[in-house]
Amino acid sequence: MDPLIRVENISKSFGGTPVLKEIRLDIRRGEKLAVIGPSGSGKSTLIRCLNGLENVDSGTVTIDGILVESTRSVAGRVGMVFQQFNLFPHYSVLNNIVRPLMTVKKVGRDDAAAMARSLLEKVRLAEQKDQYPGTLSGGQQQRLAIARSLSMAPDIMLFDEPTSSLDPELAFEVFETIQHLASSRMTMVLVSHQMNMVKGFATRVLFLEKGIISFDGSFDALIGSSDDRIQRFLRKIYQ
Amino acid sequence: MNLDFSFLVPYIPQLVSASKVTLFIGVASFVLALAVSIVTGVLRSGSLPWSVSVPLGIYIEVFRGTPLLIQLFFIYYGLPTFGIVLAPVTAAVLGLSLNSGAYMSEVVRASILAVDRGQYEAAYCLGYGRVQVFVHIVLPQAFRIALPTLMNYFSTMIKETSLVSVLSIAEITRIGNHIYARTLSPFEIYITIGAIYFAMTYTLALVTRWIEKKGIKWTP
Repeated sequence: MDPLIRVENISKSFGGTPVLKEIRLDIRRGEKLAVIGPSGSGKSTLIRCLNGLENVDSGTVTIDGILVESTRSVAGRVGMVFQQFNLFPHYSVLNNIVRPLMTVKKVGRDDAAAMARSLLEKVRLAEQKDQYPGTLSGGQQQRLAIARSLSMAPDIMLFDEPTSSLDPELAFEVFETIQHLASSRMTMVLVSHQMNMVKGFATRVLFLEKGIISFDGSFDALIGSSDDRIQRFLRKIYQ
Repeated sequence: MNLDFSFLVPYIPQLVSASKVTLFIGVASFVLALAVSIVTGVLRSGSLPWSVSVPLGIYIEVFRGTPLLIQLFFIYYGLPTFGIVLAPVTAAVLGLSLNSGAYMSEVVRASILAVDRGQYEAAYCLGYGRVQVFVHIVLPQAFRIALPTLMNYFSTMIKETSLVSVLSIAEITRIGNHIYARTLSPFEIYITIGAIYFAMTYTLALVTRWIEKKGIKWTP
């Protein structure tokens, strides 16, 4: 079976500094892929290339055979959750889901509201539906961001360090929500530094270093790896 | 010093009608300036072809770099040279709105640029198109950022309407000068005129505060 996401020899530089170097990667449908690695290794850039938020300098990304040239190429099919949430502050919690459904998918207000309420139940935010994002905790904001992405019924979800800006207690709330999602058949890619999250989530782990994939395998294989650089990174993370 | 405002009573109808003229010129100029500033501010917040950016840049620099009084004289007395003859109130509204529009367009542009990049990215990922992002996501947030400064300009414009008295418009400063010429009581008349301007601008300040506190429920 063809992979859902095919990354072929992509390279990306910022101001002459290479960030991704000739990356090749296939992601199968339903796979839960975690991308780890030191800061500046290119993890976020890699997943931002998957949905066209970053244009690649060379190489191609295809999703289900569609060439990703910009976010428009795969709009709605690839959901993304950001480290800084990026909720729409001028919309209420409910409208953060309702308005995109009405604007993008042309769903009627009543149907959109029903869908939004059901999603808010799932992420335990039903009671906050009339509040504005600015009044929510970080964990609640991130759960709303997840619900907003899910409302577009994407085939793929990308998580760019979704818990990095949260304290451990709030990070756990978000982690539970993501883990719950991971039991679905959706294809998911997670960039994270939090190894307990990676362990509970991933069916496959990539270790990225200086723009190159230097490990691709299961979580257990990663832990058991004899590669010095990986062991040094793991020791730092677990300290 | 004896202050006596009673001599002003017969002039009340004139003052009321002059206040209406001042308000009309102020409000009409602000609405027009707002429209000008939104169009030019939005255009200048993106990358533009040379043929659009240069004329817009010239407009903004010329109107910000020359006195309003000269602009009013030019529009009212200068344009007839080219066959364009405008009524005094039309010339006043045009001058005030083009002058303030030049300043306000920079406020609109800066407010658009102040909206976080992440808002665009989130919207694009959800499938919004460029125009949809602008209309639904960026402009409402930019409006909140721009509101206090734009309302400040509104207040300034109300006060600047006093300059259009030079175009023989029966607005409040001109009527004040007439009453002074007849009564020779400058203190009472100019206090009264000042109080009328203050009532207008202070009401505007209260409205702005209300919009900020009650009208906009969200926080950034």
